[in-house]
Amino acid sequence: MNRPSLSALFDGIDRPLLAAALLLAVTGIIMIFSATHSSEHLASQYAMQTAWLGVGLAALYLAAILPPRVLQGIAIPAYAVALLLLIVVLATGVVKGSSRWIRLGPIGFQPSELAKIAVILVLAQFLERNRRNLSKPRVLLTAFAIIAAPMLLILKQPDLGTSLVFGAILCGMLFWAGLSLIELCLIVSPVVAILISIMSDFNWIVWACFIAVLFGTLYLVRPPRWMIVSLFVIHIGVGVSAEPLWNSLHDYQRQRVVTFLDPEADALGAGYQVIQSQIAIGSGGLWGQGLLEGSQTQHSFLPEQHTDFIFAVVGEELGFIGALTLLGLYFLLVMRGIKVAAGAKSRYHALIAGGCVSALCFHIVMNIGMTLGLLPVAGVPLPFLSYGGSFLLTSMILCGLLLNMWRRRFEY
Amino acid sequence: MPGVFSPNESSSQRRPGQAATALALILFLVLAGRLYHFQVMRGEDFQADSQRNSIRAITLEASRGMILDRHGTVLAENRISYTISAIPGEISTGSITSLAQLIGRDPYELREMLQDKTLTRYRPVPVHRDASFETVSPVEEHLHDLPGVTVNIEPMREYSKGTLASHLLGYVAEINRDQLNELKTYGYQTGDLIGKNGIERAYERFLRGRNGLRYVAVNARGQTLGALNGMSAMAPVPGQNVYLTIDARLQEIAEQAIPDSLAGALIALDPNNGEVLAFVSKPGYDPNLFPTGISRTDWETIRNHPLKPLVNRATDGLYPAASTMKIITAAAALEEHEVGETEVMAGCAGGYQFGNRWTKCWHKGGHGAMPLNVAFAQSCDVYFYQAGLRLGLEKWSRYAKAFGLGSPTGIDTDDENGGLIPDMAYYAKSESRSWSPGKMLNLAIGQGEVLVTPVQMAVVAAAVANGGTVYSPHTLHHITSPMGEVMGQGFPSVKQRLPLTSATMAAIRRAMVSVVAHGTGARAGLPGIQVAGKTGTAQNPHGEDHSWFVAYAPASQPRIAVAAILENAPPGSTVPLVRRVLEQYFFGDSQPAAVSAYPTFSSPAQ
Repeated sequence: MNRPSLSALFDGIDRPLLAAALLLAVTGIIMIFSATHSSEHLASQYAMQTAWLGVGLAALYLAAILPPRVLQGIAIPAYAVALLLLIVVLATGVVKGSSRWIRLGPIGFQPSELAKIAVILVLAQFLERNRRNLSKPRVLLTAFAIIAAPMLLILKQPDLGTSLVFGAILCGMLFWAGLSLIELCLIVSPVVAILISIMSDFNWIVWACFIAVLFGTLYLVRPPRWMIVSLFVIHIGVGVSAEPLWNSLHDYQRQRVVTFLDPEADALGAGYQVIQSQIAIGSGGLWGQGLLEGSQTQHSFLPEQHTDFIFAVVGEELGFIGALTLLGLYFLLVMRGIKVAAGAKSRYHALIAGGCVSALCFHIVMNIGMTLGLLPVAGVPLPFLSYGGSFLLTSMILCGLLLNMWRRRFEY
Repeated sequence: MPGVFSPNESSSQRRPGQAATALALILFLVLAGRLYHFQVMRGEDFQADSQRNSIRAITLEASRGMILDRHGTVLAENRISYTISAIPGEISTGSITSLAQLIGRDPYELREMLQDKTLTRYRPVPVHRDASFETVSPVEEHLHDLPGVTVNIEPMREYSKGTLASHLLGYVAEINRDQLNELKTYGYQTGDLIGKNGIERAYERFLRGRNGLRYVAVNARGQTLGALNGMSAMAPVPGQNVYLTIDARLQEIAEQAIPDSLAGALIALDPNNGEVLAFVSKPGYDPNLFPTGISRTDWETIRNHPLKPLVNRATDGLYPAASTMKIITAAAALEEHEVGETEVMAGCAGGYQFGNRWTKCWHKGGHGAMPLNVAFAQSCDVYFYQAGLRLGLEKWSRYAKAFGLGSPTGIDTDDENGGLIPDMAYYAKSESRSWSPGKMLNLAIGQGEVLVTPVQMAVVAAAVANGGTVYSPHTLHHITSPMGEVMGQGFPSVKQRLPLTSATMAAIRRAMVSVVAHGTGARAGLPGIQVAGKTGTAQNPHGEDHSWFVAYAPASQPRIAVAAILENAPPGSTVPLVRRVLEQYFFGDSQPAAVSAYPTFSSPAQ
């Protein structure tokens, strides 16, 4: 059954998922053309993206046929290579203040993309092996350590948005490993506490309210005692040390965090992007201004319009109908992904699928939310639509893995 | 909800697919709702803003804080200027050529600058700062045909007193790419002015202020249609005013007292707290050349000037300390009981025999046998050769460092040189220089490897004057908000204390008084005020010697300490220079200058 032949591939294929992915990718190329054709030095980027789509299809095919034991075999080597490359980029790439790329001739490649795939594979293997011990602190801490290594290296680049995706992958996979949503909320609560402290300017009343809600939840959920104790200790530690730690940061480090949490404070940079993006989307109205007709897009008022803010181009040129259709395609993709995970043959398959869905869903929601001014501008690209070869490759591989898991749901 | 941590809570079967679907549905519904709100409910509002018009953010430049002296005399302020800018994403190649003609720039150079891919495409880049009215009016006239070109009124830095204190103030200039990358998170952008050196750099974060922002509607051709409804403007916050400890009048007198044909430096300190009263490095330059972008010819002129005006000699100039070092050699020898204050040392016969080598004293005739006071006043080298030999390298270098030599003083202006005081470790490490006991002779009189900066010697004079405190000099008096509210103050900063007993201290002070009373510094004497000092002549292998003088006054209760050096100037020529500064300090403008700015040299002094 797992003979890698073309007919076998189409036999067990999840057609809606593949169709959604391909439709999105083609839409992406059209929108990139629309966003860049009036600019001299960007006008050839849609062709680049088309070439990458070819490579991406090959990668999707490969990801869809590889047997799970091969995935298990390459997980740790891929993880090691990704970490090594991330260190290499950090050590060598001090070009223009941002070091995310490895150059192979004319092709730029971001090691953080490889890291996303590798982390999903390694975590799936690890959580599957420890599925009966999930409530043990050792297991949870190891899972954290697995994502912490690439996360910290990427944070150092600095690329906050991309590093956050690892958090989303971990949460998603812990969920598919058996944790409930409320338990996940408890695990991320210290991070929320830190953000709340910073945003409320270390107002202890706000913090105390948060802690009250948290322990109210604990009372209802009744997790094991070690969990309550460690949450208590962590939260008291965070509450006491947050302000002195914050004050010990350099000015520029604080500035970065504040700009992330409140882009309007940086009105000439991120704030400007959000305002322009909202105007572009708003002016699209119900039917849009028509392809190649968006005045904001065509006069380049939109910054990063072919990469991070491409959804605004869709909004302006294709209107509410077009944007909603696109949103529908993404929803379909996510729904099919969830279905793959829910119907998977084994815990390992479910975990792989869950990780892929989390990664895709995080990118979609984070990017569109940012474009619509709901979430901070974190520089997260939109799967299949944003210009960028290695990210398109990643999105295709994630879909390939989902197709793979779907095909094998009846395998024994 | 059942989970891993509370498996017994519920018996119902876990359905992760349903929970995940519900979560995804909520997230996508929120996005769709927001989309509906923007595009359908408020679509018409946005269309009104955007269908033919678009928004542009206009930066409102914050005016930079002023720099003033301790009495409030303005040294740096702002004036109104016109800046012509171009928006890289909007200007066509044809428009670039027309614009280049109008503002008299090379079209190729301008095109290269504006088509740089690293620029933010929608943010105006200044192409001609401080444009004259004659340049601005034709551009304004053609603005209609030049989409993507803007003319703004902006504050421009002006150094009201021209070259006065140029090295202390520093200047602002357009931010360069490295600085931009480093400082982006502070809100710096292409074309911003930033303090490049001196006070402008050291107090940049107070002086700078915060730029404001205004949104205007522009049409598809980039022409401004007016302010935008509902988009709030952010007012610029002006920078804070920095008051310096220097006295502009004293500074002026000191600068005038050094002729333009000479290079030199002078630092005057308040010995009681380390405040800098005058900070002179000559020749100076006109800092007004830099904020508007210095022209090539001006740059070449400054760079090729034989006296190197850009060098800040006060804190960066390295010179042998020469005989001013005898203050330290004497203090060390007394403190270590290697010589007594009244001990009469073996006679100077115009030189000293050490091993098989005869080392000369500056006075060929010889000074004869004498105690410290006389040796100090006459600056007899032979006396100090012997004192240095008795001390040895380690003790001598320890005291030199205790006076603050060999390391940066910690002045709050800009980068400074630390100078060099050699010790055993230095010779052990150095590949080209090795230690021999005979070197002590040269070191004891401040020659050999010894290198000091004028500000270091001012700190030495101040430390003797105040009874043993080595201050890090400071130039910040206080900082006020634009409204005049005091926001911060400069404060004395003690670097270290001299390890000297009061007896040694008193002996050194007596010796320095005798230099001016009846020695090589006699011409620094003031009516009614006792001055203490020490002269020096630094041997310069590349040309004429340099002249040093360090002094403080009044000797009993010092209020000012000065160190001055003139390059390639006759011995003793700094003495009347320092006298002129002291005279101004104590008698002010009411007393007519008793000494002409640069008198003839009568007697050689060492």
